[in-house]
Amino acid sequence: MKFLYSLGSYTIFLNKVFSRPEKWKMFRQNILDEMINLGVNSLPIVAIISFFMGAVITIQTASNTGGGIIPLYTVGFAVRESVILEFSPTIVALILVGKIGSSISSQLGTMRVTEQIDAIEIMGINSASFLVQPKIIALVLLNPFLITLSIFLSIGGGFVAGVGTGAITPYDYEYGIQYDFEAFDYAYSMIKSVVFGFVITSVPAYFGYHVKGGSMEVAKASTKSVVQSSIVILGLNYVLTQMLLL
Amino acid sequence: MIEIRNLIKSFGDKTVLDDISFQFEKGKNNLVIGASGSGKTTMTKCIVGLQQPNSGVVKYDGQSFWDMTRKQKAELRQSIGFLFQGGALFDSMTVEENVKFALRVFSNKTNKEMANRVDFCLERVNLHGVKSLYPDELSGGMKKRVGIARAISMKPKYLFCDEPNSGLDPQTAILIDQLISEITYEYNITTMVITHDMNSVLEIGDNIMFLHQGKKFWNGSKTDILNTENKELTDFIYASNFMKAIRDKAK
Ligand SMILES: Nc1ncnc2c1ncn2[C@@H]1O[C@H](COP(=O)(O)OP(=O)(O)OP(=O)(O)O)[C@@H](O)[C@H]1O
Ligand SMILES: [Mg+2]
Repeated sequence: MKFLYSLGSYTIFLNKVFSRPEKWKMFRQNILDEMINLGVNSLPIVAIISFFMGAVITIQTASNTGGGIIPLYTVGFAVRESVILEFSPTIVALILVGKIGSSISSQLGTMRVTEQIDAIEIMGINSASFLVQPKIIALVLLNPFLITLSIFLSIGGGFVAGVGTGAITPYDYEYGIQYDFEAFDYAYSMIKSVVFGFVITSVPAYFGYHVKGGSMEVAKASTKSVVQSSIVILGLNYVLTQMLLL
Repeated sequence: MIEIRNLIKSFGDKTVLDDISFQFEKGKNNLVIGASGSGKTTMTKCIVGLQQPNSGVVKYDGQSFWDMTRKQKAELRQSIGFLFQGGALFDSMTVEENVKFALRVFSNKTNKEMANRVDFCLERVNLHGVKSLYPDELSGGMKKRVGIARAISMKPKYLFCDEPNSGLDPQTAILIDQLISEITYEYNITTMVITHDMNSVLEIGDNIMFLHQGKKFWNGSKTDILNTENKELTDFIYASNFMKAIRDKAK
């Protein structure tokens, strides 16, 4: 019951968010600002995580396949597949929930309790659309790039770690990561990136925008938005995987 | 002119506005006075639609607010200037950006024209050299004045000021009162000022409404108020020795 209620008010919220912007010029500028704020500023953390993620996956896979029957290039193949299909889009999304989601939620929550949102409304501006729409659009546009970058860095991290430790030869790794490549896997990954970009921004925005009370409630909303966004991402991840891969 | 009729608002089982009717007249300084917690801010928010009253009518020049479409409300609000009791300045923007905000969204002015308008508004509230500061770098009274500058930036037809001169020194307070009054007469707009300050009441109170525990107890002008017999109102006005002294002297 409570779930249905939340889903309903989330839908109403999105309806308010996606109404026509008051002024296109300002809207475009806001999207660019948010792209820098949400996307470009997330580059370092995405890069670091991806690199080490790829490194660890490679070493683990290599240490588990070292029997002799399984050819060594499968390590590269397995790394590529798991990174494209799962690790980059999903794990990075969960990291971004923590970084971007919590900041969106606390920013909007603070604006709510200090009446800044009311101040926007009273000017005749649709505050939800003005504040939230640029964020959603910015990340939906940028997340595929972030994830693509993450994929490359993970595979690169795998190369450095695998070759550096002597677990795999450069030739086998390179052969493996090119073996039996299907463009659809990448497309699947990008579909997930777009959907998750939407979740990472819109769910925390919903919680932040509807805060009532003071600093305690802002903090609670921020925590709640991280937890709920993560659950939604994992749930959608399952649904999308079943829909697209089966 | 703004008319409210039988306005009722409660939070849970606590009735904050209890059947209030009043007319805020055009071209006059309409003052709302009353003790802390008497419902002044809540009433204002119900009038502009930031809070929804349980029942009652709010009319802007004859047009009922709660019957308007979303688009009509948005258009009406472009002609409303609102000073929040807490300022509600945009804390991620400079003073200049705060005052310019609505202009950027709604007007077709050039950057130069907008800058001129910002200068003019800041000049009127007697603020100088603070354009590039952020709200947290301002004093309390400066924030209030930036809030007023922002409220008047779009040349509003309806101006709401929630305690415009609380936290200001007496000189600046009078300046702000005079400014609000000047704007009201000059542009013939409907102004509503919430205040605790008896100075303001006696200075600019053309049409005063006294709220007490969510009810309208009295209304009249600044000349009427000194002769009132209303017990709750006299308790409110003559709470200070200063005001008592004025009364005794007049007698
Ligand atoms: N959002 C709210 N939820 C519950 N009660 C509220 C809410 N806002 C105001 N109240 C209550 O309504 C009453 C009137 O509050 P209001 O802010 O209108 O007073 P006020 O006359 O503006 O006081 P002050 O002069 O101190 O600003 C208070 O008792 C307050 O506790
Ligand atoms: Mg108040």
